Amino acid sequence: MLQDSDRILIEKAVNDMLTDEEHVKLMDRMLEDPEVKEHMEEQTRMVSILAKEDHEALRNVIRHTIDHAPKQIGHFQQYRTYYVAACVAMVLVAVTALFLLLSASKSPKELAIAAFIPYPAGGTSRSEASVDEGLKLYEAGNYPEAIAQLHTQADLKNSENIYNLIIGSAHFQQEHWPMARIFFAPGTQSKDVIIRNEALWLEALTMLASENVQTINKLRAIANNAGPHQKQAAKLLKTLEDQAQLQQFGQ
Amino acid sequence: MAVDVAQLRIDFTTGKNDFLIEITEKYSQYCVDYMLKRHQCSEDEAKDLFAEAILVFRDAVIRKKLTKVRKVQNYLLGTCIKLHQLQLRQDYRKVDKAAEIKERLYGENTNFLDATVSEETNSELIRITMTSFHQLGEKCQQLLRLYYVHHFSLNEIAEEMGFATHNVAKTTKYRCYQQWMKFARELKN
Repeated sequence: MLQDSDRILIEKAVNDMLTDEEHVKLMDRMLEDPEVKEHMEEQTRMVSILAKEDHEALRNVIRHTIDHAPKQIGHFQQYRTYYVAACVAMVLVAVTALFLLLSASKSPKELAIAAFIPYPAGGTSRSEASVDEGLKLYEAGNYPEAIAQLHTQADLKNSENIYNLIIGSAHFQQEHWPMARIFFAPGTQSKDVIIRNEALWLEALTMLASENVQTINKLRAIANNAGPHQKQAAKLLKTLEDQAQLQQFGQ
Repeated sequence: MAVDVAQLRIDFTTGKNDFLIEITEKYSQYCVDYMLKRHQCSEDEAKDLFAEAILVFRDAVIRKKLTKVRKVQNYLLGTCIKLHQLQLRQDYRKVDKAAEIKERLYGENTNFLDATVSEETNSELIRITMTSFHQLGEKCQQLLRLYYVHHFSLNEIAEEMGFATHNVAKTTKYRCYQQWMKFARELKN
């Protein structure tokens, strides 16, 4: 039977307050009475439980909190739509700026090359094998070889000679501006309106490519007269004006 | 996040753990994700590590091992990594006040070893222990918690709770303990 004195001894034991004499007494009582031992064990377990429960309870609360914590959405995820929209907008702006930059920075030479269409070789009469070969090379884009084969057909004194335009076109393609202009020049005096219109247009483009100061006058002349290249000439003039390049040509 | 460690210490020693819940909600996902990705932990293990890191944090604040903390998130992550690498968990769990009492009382006398306790008896004892403990006044709870849970010495308790000497702390602890056991007996009967 547990007595009050046993209880005091047990409580002292747990709190390290036993004297040597009390220690012996408690041990004896525990051997005599299993209830005393049981109470001693129980109080020891309670101390253990207190420590463990404090940790376990907190650990359980933390685990529960982790398991049920609201998913924290990352900054990027939270504003993903805005980021994507901003990126798309930036790309569009960059592409537009690049486009404007590229279109705005077209040089006279680039404008001339863009507008240039080589004089067609189709309307020529092919009498010699070397001429046939030369025209084939011209159509194939082999301009140096074409010029070598066709040069015998050129006649700078004959304004009606379409080989002048073909050879001039071959020089144009190779960016030999002075040579191209020499071969286009006779045609500008042709009585054949088709040849004359083509020659005037090709000569104007050659002058534009070489940034000749007379280019604008030439283009205006074409733009002001009815002809196959009237609209093209007007468009070129407008582009040059938009790009503030007219000053370059003394305008 | 600015942390007032001194205030935290007061809160922790008096059993107020709200801050621990707050930092768990804020940083657990980051730390768990990090441990999953960088240290190949399982999700369960990473969560356990984080829970343990929280206990280590609380202990460090209470034991004054941590007096200043710049970023709680970094401290917790660092602790998770340490716990994982050095398996500090086992070392941390070794401390047991009950074993100390038995060692002191029984020495090497094996006649007094624990009898097996049924699950039911144990559950009932847990209920009685915790309920009676929470019936104590705040000061008594703090004192007993400092001694049995956080393993403060009586000198440390005297300093912490403003007792003149460690003997005063010892006497007060004894009285608190007696009060606790009285409440426990009442619950039992």
